[in-house]
Amino acid sequence: MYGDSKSPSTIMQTEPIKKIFLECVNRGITYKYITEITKDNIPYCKEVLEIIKTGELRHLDGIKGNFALTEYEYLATATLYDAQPLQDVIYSNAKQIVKQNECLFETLWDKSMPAEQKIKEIEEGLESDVIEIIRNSSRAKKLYLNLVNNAKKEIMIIFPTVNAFIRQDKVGVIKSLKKVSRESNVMIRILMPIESFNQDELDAMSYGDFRQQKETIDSNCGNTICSENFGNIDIRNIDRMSEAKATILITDRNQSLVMELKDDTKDTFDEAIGLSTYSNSISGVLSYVAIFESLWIETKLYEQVRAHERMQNAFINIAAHELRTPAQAILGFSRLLKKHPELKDELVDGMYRNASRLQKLINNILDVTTIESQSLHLNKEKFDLNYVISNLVDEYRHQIKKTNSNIKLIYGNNNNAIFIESDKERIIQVISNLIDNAIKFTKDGGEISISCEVETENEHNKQVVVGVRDTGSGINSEIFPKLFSKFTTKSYQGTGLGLFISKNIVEEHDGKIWAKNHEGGQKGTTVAFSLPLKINIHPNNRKNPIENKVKT
Amino acid sequence: MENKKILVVDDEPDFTFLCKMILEDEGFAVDEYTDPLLAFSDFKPNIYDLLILDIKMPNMDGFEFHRKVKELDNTVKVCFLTASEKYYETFREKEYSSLGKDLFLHKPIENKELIKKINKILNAN
Repeated sequence: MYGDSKSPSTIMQTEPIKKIFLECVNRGITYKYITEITKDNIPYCKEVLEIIKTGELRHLDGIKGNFALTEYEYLATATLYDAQPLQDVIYSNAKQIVKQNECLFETLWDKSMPAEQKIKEIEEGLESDVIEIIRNSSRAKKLYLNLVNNAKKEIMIIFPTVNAFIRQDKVGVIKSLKKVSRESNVMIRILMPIESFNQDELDAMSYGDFRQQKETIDSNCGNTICSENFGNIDIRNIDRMSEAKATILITDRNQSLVMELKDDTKDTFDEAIGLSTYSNSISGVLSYVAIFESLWIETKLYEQVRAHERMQNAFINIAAHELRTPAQAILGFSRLLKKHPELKDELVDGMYRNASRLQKLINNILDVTTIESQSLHLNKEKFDLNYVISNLVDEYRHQIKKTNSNIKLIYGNNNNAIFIESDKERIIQVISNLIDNAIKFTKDGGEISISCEVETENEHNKQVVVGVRDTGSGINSEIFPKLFSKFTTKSYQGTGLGLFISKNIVEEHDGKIWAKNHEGGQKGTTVAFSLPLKINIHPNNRKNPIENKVKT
Repeated sequence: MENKKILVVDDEPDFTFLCKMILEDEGFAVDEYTDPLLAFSDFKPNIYDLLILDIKMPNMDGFEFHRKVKELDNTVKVCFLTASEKYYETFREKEYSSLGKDLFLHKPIENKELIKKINKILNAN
């Protein structure tokens, strides 16, 4: 039997019908009954369930019309109105017609669900699990927008192609996404081939913000991960999918809509979309979530790997040059020594100079390795920073004189001792690095001033700030944001590791390091770092527990 | 080989000094520059038999220097000498590939080896 939602009550309430029903059951007839179980007809369905001995009651959504089948006969009617006499019926005992409708019935039987399950769902207030195929693209579009606008917590979308994004933008999807993110604080994540957008496609985008996002992603692609935040909308790049073509939408991790892309060359959503599948069946939806999440992480990892590779290549290039150049000089000079004993002094000086350069480089590379493997250890000792800087400045003045350069080194400290407890070697390394950089980028006749001052924020916050100020050309705006990272250098010499190492040493001391280009008149840069000073414990403040006890 | 004149351009003064000494010991006449711009502005055609050029230099790299010099002097031979990894690819892509690998030398290079290669280049035709 196949009956609409009114049929259970009709069977149970209409006496003659009920009587026949009971008789048949008692005769051993198998009843296969499909109806639409609703809140209203549950009591009648339960009655039916109690009665049916062999056979089963099942549920199907949206039943209209009724028919009944036996092995030989077929009877169909229109919707029964409570206890009203039947108006029109169709009857047949033609074998083919009965057989045909048997097939139809079996199809419906397979699609139906056990009555107990449906009753349970209704009573427990659970929504039924639905997986629906939507053939009408207009309906799919409505559902799409509906899902987006009603999302409460999170939305995940995969756009397979650039055109898909543009088409959906035209029907208002992006607008809805932004609205829902702004108004309901919904977290939105999008995977799409954003790197593949060309200029025309970009111009077609009606939202300046997305264009801006793309530009930010582009300019960051050199060094950082391709993921930008715009409000609550996170976009990451996936490569254009040439094989898989479907837009996947998941909302609140409990509903999914997958829209097949039938023809990517079409201009409108309706023409481009093929079949769509909607599901609110949790396990199904969660598998889409799993796919999305793994793609999401993968793109980040992939970009990290690419960035790392770029860095490695940059490093090899720079290191190769920096290692080979002094090696060449040492090899060449040492060979020349035999032939030209008269040039001994010059050659030996040259060898020493280049060997020092190599030594510095080796130390830098090893320092970087140490820092990266988290094994940077500080040997702290108490020393007078002012004294150390004074000595260092004298040494540099000496060196500068030797090279016949005209750069002036100024250290303006009025001989006040400043005691700090830190790793003396490493602090000297940092200050040397800053002075080296200043010298490198300050022309002849320029000035470098070093300062060292104690700053007191409050009783508990004292720090010493060491600054190196030059009158050079200023730090190039291109490298400024990555100043303290590896391989950042605008000079033709050096590996660009100095500031990276300095930053790590300073931060290991719980200090800070920063750089600033001078504004206004005098060009140049100041690079400075701060180190926290330990608070001296005043003897009167020291709490002595025993003393206190005695006092009370 | 006597009477051959060589121009050396490299931004490392230690290297140009070294090169000059090695080549002069072999009887070559050598002009050395650490600034490619200055070297180019001083350049006169039909004086040099060979150019020894570093590639990574500020203001003008070795490839560009050679290109510009070639416009003034078509007969001078060239040899590139570099400490970097990456320029070999560029070298191959440009017209040099037909002239052979010998024109592209890597630092550090032994003094004897340098002389050997230079002689080979000067004698070849």
